[in-house]
Amino acid sequence: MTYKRHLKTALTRYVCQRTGIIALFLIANLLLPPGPGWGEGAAYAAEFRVGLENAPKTLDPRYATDAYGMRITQHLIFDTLVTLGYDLQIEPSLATRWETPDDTTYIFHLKDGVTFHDGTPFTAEDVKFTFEHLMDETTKSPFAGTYKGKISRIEVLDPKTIKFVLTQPVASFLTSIILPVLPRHIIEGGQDFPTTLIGTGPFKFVSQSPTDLRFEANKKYWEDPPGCDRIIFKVVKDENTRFLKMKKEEIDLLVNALSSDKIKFFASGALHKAYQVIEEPGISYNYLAFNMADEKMKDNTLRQAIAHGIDVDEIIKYKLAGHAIRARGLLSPVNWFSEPDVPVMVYDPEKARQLLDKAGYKDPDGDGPRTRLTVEMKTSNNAEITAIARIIQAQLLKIGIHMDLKSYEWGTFYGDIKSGNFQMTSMRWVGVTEPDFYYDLFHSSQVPPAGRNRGRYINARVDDLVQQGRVTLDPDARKRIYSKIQTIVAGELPYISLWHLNNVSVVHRRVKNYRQHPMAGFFSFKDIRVE
Amino acid sequence: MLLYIIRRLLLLIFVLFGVVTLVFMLIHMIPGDPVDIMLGDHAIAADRKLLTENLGLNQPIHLQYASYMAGILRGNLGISIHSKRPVTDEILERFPASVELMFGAMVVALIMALPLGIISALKPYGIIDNSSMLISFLGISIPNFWLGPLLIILFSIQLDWLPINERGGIEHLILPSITLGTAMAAMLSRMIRASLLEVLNEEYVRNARAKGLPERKVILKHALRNALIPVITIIGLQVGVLLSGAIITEAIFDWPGLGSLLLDAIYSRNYPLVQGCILFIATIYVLVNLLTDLTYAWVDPRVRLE
Amino acid sequence: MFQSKWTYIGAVIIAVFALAAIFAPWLAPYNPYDMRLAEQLSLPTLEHFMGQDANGVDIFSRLMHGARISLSVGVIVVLISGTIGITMGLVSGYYGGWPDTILMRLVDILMAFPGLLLAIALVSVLGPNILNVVIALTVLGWVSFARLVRGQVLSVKEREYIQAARTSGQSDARIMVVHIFPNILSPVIVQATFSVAGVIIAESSLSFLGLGAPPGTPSWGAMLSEGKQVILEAPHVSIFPGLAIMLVVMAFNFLGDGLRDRFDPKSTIN
Repeated sequence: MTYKRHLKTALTRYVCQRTGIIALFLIANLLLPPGPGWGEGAAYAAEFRVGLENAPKTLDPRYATDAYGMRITQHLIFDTLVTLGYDLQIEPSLATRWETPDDTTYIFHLKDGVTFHDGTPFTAEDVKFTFEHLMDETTKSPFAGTYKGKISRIEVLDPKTIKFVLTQPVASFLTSIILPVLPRHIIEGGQDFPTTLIGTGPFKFVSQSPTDLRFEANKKYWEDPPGCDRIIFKVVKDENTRFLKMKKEEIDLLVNALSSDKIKFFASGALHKAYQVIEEPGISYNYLAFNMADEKMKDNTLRQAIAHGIDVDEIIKYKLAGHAIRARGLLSPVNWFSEPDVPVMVYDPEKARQLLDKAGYKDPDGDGPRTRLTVEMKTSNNAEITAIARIIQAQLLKIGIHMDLKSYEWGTFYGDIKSGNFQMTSMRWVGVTEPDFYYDLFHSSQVPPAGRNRGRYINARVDDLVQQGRVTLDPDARKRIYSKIQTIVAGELPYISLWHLNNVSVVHRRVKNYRQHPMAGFFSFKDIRVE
Repeated sequence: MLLYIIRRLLLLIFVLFGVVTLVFMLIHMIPGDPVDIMLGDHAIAADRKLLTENLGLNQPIHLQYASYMAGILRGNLGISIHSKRPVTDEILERFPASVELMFGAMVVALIMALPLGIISALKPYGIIDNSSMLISFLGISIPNFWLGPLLIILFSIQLDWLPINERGGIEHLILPSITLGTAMAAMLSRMIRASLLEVLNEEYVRNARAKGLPERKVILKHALRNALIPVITIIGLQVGVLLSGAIITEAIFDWPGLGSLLLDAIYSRNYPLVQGCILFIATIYVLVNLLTDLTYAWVDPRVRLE
Repeated sequence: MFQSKWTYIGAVIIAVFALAAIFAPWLAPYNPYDMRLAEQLSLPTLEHFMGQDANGVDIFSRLMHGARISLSVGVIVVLISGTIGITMGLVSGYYGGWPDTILMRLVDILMAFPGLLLAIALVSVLGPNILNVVIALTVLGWVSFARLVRGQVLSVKEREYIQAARTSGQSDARIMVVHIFPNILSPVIVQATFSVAGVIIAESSLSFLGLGAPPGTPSWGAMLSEGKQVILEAPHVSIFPGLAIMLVVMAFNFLGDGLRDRFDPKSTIN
């Protein structure tokens, strides 16, 4: 074998290998769908580009339970019978008015001239179908439990009037029916619903991919037609990338999707020229929860000591850059039911130490390094939550409590919390509007797996009150009941209330009429104009 | 040779069976309830028990396993818990993006590593070797979550040459490929240098030199082929990592690949989707590595396949 | 001479880091847990010459304490997984046949398996602490050594000098250790030294995913992933741990080169 021939084969093989890879690479590129080209920055005038942190899990309103999925289905593609207005009060939507002849009967009068996206008129039959379909076991909807056992029957009185008969008075009934009205003719007619998503809402569903979701205006919407032609949701998971995309003005709106470190860049310079920051109190609720079934944690004196040892204002000032308000309870001050006059545990390390002495946890060595006791706190691995937990850990060390901090991946963490395998934890409730949520959280029957009383809080008086709250229909009487509950819970401390995060929207100045909803929803999208 | 391939393909079934069983055990072993995670901490009422039953999660674990395996044998990977879509559809939707990014990263790695590695080996401890060494130390030490934003700032914001993120034409592929390929390039260039240096001292290379062959021919003909063995190994090994492990790069550039699909599926305990993803990636991985082993014999005729 | 100088530099760097790690509690200017929220994200100053992190903790002090965890995790994982992987690879490549088939299929199963799922499973069953991180990373790490070594053995074992050793009646173990191993050492050393960095960064990804040491533990990985969140506004938070990792990788590599020259009979020229 001559060297020359050998060299040639070696070279050929070598080159083939490389070109082979490049060729495969090119083929892979040819297989791609034609994507949007270069000039993404120069968007169409009437196109509204919204950044999301995650893709909604599904847009099928029968199954959508995540925040983005629910906002898009309820506010864009579909309509609901009633809605929660900017003041969180029930307002008419597809139902123009309603009456309650007795405590268990609701009669809704529906709007005239409403059609689905395919032109089919909307009638009371669609409403009846929606709730019966959701309750039907074969639908496998997570919302079945909301209505089963509560709605006894639904009657269509005429095409524009519908009657709901309940099994018992349900104070939260009107908020519980805020779910998209489905097109009966499509689903019952066996047509494809999950990929067409025909609704009555201000926007029509166009397409969905893992990275973007497209909608176009429903020009025949029953209210004024939307002010923008298209909405594009861009899923941008990385916060740095979201921020850089704003820097290049490729996104018109981010709602609660930037940390306080990034928001401060919008206070001046080019970003300030391009964007406006809208900040208002929100309704999410951050808290520390105790496991009341735990030997140590069931002692109220210890819980009070911990509450007095945590400087919430310091955390709000430095970690949240002031983008939150101190919480006094589950319900934010925005909520009509919130009770401002409840016991508040102010930061007072001296009092905390006295309470620890009283609870039997004496300081072993004065200024020395030994601590009075060790408590364990479990958190999810969410960076923000663990960062805050670390500060609480440092604060509690000052009153002589060693907090053993453990963070777990969400599924594992959630499993532990649910099964009561924890002493303390820190979490957040989002979307709390209905005070009946107190039943879920603190009624003794709601210990998991039944409900979400994960801290195993058991108090007969609270049981009694949350039960009354469920069936009392008079708003003022109901408010008095929940005031009592809020006062008791704030004193007994199954939760230490931390804060309600503000809603922060960063919106491009070319967008007009954007209005922020306390639930951070997409309510105002139908009104906005893009210049 | 043919017999070897057939035997390997038969073993492949065994490997995939092992992978599926292991995944099934692990994902069901770790705590966490898909229904709870699906509903999250939103203040909505829902019927958990009914949901659990509907998903078949109340059945004993061995029955779930049996019905899953029966599904696989019929070519049915099941339905994704959240989207209610077939798992196969969800995977195939993401697959092209992953393949594209994988090839992009490999091309970047080879373009950077081959010249650097070869030149470094020819003039060890020279200026090029030393600077290439520095570059590769830098490359391996910079985490992707650092490099990605840095590249975006430079090429998309300052210079405005390339788009920030998203999948699209070839210009969209450049930054993610560099981000993902740099660490591999760093490792490969040192690897090529080391094994070339070793081969250059081999007797047959010295013989070739003694025979007065030009240095370039010695390198290309004798040395490089042998030096390619570790390169091929690494590429083969990286296929699995690049397909499913590009989580951070995918997140920075909003690349709709398998890595983020799998991560989300693990986090949400979307059992059918996790199992489907891993089975799919494992199949490709095993096939690629069969190819790798065949390539050993092709690059280096002294390697015998048994 | 030139080469040994680099080896020497590598050894010195590692020694400095090791000393810093061992004596961190006495040498570090500040307590690595001491938060000063009002001074968060401060740029380097005379008192804090690497600046302060998102909690106002002195970055230099955290870095020194972090060396204890990161260096030991990096070195221990690579030592254990390297030893297991090299042994497996040698045996598998040398004997071929059924041992090879079984081992390599096992390797395939593990490699085809996303490391993250394995890590989540291990850590959630065993509990989140640094020891379980070491276990998870070792379980994942030996595989690539095994595959690399096997590939090298395949290419070396048919060579004349191995054949000669075989015909002269030497034992298999002796052939593997004395004749094959030194000849495949170079790529293994590259892989090992780079793996130290890989492991430190993997620890960072794990702690980023909340699967590492408890939050707040000073480790370079945790510092890197915390720095990610403020990379645009306060790059110094992640630059210094990044530089530390780079120096360590470099040092191990220099040392690795020196080791190779010592053990590899052929590469003593130049």
